[in-house]
Amino acid sequence: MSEPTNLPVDPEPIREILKNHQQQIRLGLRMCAHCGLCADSCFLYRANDRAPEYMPSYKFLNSIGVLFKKKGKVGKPAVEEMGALVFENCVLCTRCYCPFGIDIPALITLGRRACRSQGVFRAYDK
Amino acid sequence: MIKAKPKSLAEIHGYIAPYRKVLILGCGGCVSVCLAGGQKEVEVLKTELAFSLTKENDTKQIRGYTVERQCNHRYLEELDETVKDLDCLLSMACGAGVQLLAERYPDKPVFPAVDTIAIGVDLDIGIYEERCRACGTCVLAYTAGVCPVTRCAKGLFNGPCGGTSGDHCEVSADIPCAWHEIYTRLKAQNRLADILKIQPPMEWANQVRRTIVQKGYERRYSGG
Amino acid sequence: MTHSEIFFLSAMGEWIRGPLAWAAFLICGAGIFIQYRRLLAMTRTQEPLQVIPLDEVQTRGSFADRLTGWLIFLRISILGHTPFMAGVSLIFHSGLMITPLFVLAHNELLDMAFGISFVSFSEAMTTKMTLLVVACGAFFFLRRIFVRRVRAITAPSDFVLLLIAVGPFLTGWLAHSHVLNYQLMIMLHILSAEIMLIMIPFSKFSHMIFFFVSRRLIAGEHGRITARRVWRYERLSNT
Repeated sequence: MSEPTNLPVDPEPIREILKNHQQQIRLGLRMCAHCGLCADSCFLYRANDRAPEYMPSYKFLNSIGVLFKKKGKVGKPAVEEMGALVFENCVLCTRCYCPFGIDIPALITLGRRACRSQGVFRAYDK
Repeated sequence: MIKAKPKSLAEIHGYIAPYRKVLILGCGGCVSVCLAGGQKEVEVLKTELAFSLTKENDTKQIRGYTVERQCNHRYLEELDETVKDLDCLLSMACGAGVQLLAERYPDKPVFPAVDTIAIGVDLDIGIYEERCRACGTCVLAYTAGVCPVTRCAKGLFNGPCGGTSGDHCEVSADIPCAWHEIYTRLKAQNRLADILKIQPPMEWANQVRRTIVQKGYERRYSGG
Repeated sequence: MTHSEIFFLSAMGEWIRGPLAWAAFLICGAGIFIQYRRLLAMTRTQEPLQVIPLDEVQTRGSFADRLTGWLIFLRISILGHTPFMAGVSLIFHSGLMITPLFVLAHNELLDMAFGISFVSFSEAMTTKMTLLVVACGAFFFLRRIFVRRVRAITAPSDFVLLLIAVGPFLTGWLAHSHVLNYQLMIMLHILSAEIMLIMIPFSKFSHMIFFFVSRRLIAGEHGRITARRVWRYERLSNT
C-alpha cells in the first residue's frame, strides 16, 4: 500500500466520480440482492479460505458503495481501508460473476479511481 | 496485456497421458482477462478432462487452483508443499508463467495449456487484437500511435511501399494500409514533419532474450 | 368486537380490496415498465465486429459433444457450485410467479370481477406450492443468518424484503387453513401482496427486470453470446 499521508480527504474528486457515474453506481447498489453467489467466481476468495472480504459484492459495496452512500464524506482511514479492498483484495481479472449481471469490475475500477484521487494506491515495489 | 488461446484438448491429453496426479494451475493475470486461463477455464478444463478420462477408464487425479500471477515467485510460494505430491503441472499461464513454474520446480514436468499469442488490446468481449510485438525500439512517437511492426505487412519504418492502394494494403482489401493511417493522423495533428525524419533500421532486438532493469535499480543489479 | 371496530375494519377492508388493489397493480405495472425503459436507456446497441466469414464458423458438433458441453456448463455454473442455494432459488422464484396464477380463490375473484380466469390447480396442490415457497423463504432467512459470506453483506432491509416477499404466501395459507382469525389473515394477505407489488419497481425486487435485461440483452461473459447491447458508460471502440 502507498505510504499513509497526513493530508485530509479531498472530497471534490470523489464527488466528481460519484456524480459522473451515479446511474451506474446506483444501479449496482439497487440490484445487488446480497445473495453472495458472486463469491465462488473469485479465485482470490477461494484461495483465501473463503474469507468474505474477498467476495466481489463485499468489495464493491464496501468501497464505492460506501462512498456513494456517504456522498464522499469519509475520513482518511476509511479511504485507506477501501484501498486495501480494491487494490489488495482484487486484481481486476474481470471474471466476477453476478446472477443479475452487475458489472462489478467497473465498480471496483471506480473505487480504485476514488482511492487514487486521495493518494491511496497499490505500491508494486514493496 | 498478453493474449493467449487455449490449446486443444487432444494436445493436452497427450501431455498428461503418462501422469496420474495433475494440478491445473490458472493465472489471475492476463490470461484471466482474455478468457484463456483463469479460474473458470481451469474448472472447464478439469471437467472436460474428467469426462473424457472416465470414458477411457483412466484413473487420474486432476485438481485445479488459480494463483494471482505465475510470473512472480512471490505468488508461487504457496504451491511449494502441494507440488511435492504431484506428478506434473498443467499451467494455463502465458509462456513466462510456465517457465517460472518449471524453474521453481525443476524436477516436475510442467506443461502449457495455452498458446501465448500476443501483446494486445480488448476489442470486445472475447475478441482481442495484437498491437505490440515487443520489438524493443518503439517508434510510436513518430507514427501517431500506429505501430508499423504489427500493422504494416512489411514492417516498413519510413513510409508506405509502392503497393499501397488508396487506403489498403496490397495484400488484401480488408487490411488497411498502416502508413495511410499514419499519414492521415499525423496530418490531422499537424505533425507531418515526423514522417520526414528517417528512422534507422529496426534492430529487431526481440530476437534475443532481453532483461530489463528499470531506472533507479541499476545499482542494485550491477557489480559481480 | 365493538360496532366501531367492525365498521373500521370493514371500511379498511373495502379500501384494501378496492382502490389500493388497483393502485398496487398500476404502480407495479407502470413501475416495471418505467424501470425497464430507464435500464434500456443506460445501454446502447453496438454491433459485434464481423471478423470471421460465416462459412468458417464451426457447425454444431455431434449430439454427444453438445451434451457434454451442456453438462460442463451446468457443472461450472452456480447449479454446480452451490446446488442447494441455486435449486432452492429456482423453486422459490418459480413458485412465486406461478402459484398466484393457479389458486382457485384468485381465479374465482377474477371470474367474478372480469368474467375471465386461468386454469386452477386443486387446492391441495396450490397449498403445497404455497408452503414450498414459504419453506424456501425460511431457507433464505436462515442462510442470511448462518452463512458467513452472506451475513457479511446483509442489511436490515434484506430481512424486511424477504418478509414482504413471503408474506402473501404465509398469510394466504394461514387464511385458507383458518388456523388464525380468517378476516384478519385475509386482510393481511391482500395488504402484504399489495405492498409487495408496490415494492417491485422500487427495491431490489427489480432484479426481476434487471436479470432478463442484462443477461439477455447486454454483451458480456455471462450473457448471451450474440447480445448486441453494451452499457453506455463503456466505450471499447470508437463506435
